[in-house]
Amino acid sequence: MSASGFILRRLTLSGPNGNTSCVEFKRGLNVISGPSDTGKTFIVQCIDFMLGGRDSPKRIPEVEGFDTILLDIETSDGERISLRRGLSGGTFELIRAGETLALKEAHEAGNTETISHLLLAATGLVGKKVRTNARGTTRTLSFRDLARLVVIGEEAIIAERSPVLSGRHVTKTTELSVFRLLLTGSDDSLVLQQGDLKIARTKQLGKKELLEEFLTKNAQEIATASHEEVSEETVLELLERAEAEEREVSTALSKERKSALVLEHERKTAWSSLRQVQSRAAVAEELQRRFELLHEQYKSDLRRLEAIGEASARLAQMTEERCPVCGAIAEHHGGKDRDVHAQPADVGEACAAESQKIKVLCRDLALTIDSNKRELSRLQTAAEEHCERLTAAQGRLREELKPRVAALINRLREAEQHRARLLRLADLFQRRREFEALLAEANKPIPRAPRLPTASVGADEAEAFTRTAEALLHAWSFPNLDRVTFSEDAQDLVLGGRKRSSHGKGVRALTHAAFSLALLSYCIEYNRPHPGLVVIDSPLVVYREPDTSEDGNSFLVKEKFYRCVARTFASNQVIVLENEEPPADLDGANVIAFTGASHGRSGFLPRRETVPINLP
Amino acid sequence: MGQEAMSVERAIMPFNGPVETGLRCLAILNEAFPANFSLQKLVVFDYLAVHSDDAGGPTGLHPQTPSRSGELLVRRTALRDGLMLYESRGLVHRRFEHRGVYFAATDRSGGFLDALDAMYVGELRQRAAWVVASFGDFGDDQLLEFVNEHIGIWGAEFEWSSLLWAEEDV
Repeated sequence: MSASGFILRRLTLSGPNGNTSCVEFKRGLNVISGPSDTGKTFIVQCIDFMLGGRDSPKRIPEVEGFDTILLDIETSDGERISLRRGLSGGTFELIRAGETLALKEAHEAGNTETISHLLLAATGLVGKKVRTNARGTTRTLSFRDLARLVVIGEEAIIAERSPVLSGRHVTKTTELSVFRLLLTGSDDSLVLQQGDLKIARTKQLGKKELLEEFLTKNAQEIATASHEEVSEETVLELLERAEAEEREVSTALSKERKSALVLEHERKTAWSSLRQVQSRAAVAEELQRRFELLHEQYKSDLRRLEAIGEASARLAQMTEERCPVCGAIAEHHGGKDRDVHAQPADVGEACAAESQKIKVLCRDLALTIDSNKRELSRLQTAAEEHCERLTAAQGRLREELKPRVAALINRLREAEQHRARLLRLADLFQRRREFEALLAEANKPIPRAPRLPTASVGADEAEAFTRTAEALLHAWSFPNLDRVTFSEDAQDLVLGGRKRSSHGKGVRALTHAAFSLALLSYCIEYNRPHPGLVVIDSPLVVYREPDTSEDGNSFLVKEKFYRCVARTFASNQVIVLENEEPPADLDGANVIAFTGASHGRSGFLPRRETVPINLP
Repeated sequence: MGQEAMSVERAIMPFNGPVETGLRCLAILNEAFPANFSLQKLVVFDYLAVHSDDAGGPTGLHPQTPSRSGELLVRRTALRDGLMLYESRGLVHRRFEHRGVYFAATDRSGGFLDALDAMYVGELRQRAAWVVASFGDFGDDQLLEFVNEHIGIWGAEFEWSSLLWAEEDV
């Protein structure tokens, strides 16, 4: 929706039995005329109700059988929307482009699903702030704040108070704020609430006390953290140096660690080489023992063979005396007892042969033993070498490197601790600065609150508006008009030096209409947001103009009223409800005449008799 | 007595044959002359003669090979054949008593031994003397006990008694 107001198109009442009654409005001037009791005031109440009013329309007898009101609205960009509401009140239904949306009846700041927001959006005054009291408390504008300037009922129109006010004292500030918003276009968003001076002073004192306490504690902490007097600068310097030192030690440490790794690797290789050589040597040693045993065996065998050989030879020379088994002498022996053992002579030969073999084996063995001995000795030498290397590496690791690394780690740890202490000190110093700054702030005196701009509209602000009202009244030939001025005090027009409120009610009604129409006209001319319509109930009925002017002519105020309004507000909407019809030749006006009788349209709602009775 | 060369090479292992075992028994018997010993005793004495270091005596004649206690088992037959051989040359005397078979040296044993030059023989005779001196008076049970006590140390793991003191088969 673009925001330069809206107009009403149709007001419909409907009931559950399908009864409907409606009245159609057009752009420009609409006049609904007719006798009393034809529902004119009812129409005004319906319109106000449909613009978010809390009070349901007065329950006239004819309303029996109707329960719902539908108001069709056209916004400034041509969009048609409908609002539906039950006669008893409650939420609205917005029907737009075939979709229905529920709208709350009460205004809520920030809630777009309210009737107030919808109408404010159409008007162009969403989110505006208005003052609610002298201290400057604000709230958001509700459409209802504008309603009294848009829909003027028959009682309000003759009231003595300014058209801007409701008469309730509590809401006066707000109402003036609204008037000024419409006139000047600026709201009270920038008005800051002025707190109580005393409360503010107390708060400040409290802050000071607290900050002073903090500062004292801080000073103590600083004293504890550094045992001597230092300045923040010194601390920062020392901190830098401490950080540099830490970095240095770190680098040195990683260098040492790297060399430690190299040495460690050396040690490991020496160790594994040593192990290998040692195990090979162990094997060689074992072999050596076996070989030596074998050698012993061979030597023993040779000696035995020598003895056996000798004994065999001797035995061979000696004659057998008797068979040792059967006792027979050799000559008589059959030979069957000869055992498989060879005779001593053969044994002697075997011994010689065996001896030879063994001697050969022995020689081979001697060679093997020798070579093994050499291998063993070689291995032992290698083992010694590896052992030396190992102990050397171990020694270096133990004596040189490890202590150096340990020392560096220590230094690093100290450096870290030192740095941590300095950091804490630096932190404390910074904290002190912050506290001091805050304290300086808190020590500043609280300025007296400046006077708020008043809510009421000044005469200069209302100047252009006043001129517009004057022009209208002139156009209507208001008698003895002379000048129109604005009373700041009454926030109302002053006609020819006389307050509007001091006039009779006919003049009051007519000039109230002038006020409201002037406001619409002013807003259009000066591009201020305005709902774009005015609904006026009975502006003219009570007024009776003086008989003739000075030059003997009639003023014809009412006639001129209609013609002027029809002309001036052709692009917007003015709905006037009156007893008397407007001039018959009135151009550019939508006239709906109720007859109050059986011919024509009797009234807004059908007379009771013609309402179909609900069948049970 | 001529034998074919083939049978010589096939059959002859001079070590622990009758000539050698008989020679050792002869040395032992000669030292104990005129006492006589059973075959059982001689088997043990033969072991002790060559492995005198196993029983706290002089250095062993033969090296201390790992499975040497097995010799106590396998020597019996060889010793018997050896004794028989030397008996056939009149160097050993066998007598049958109600207790069993006993062997002794003859008056020709010493001369036979004296005539041998090999160094081994001399050393053997020394150890034989030690054996006879140390164990010659041992009764059968005593000797059995001694062997059982030490057999584990000499490397063998199985029971000796039943095998060692088997029935003498004549």
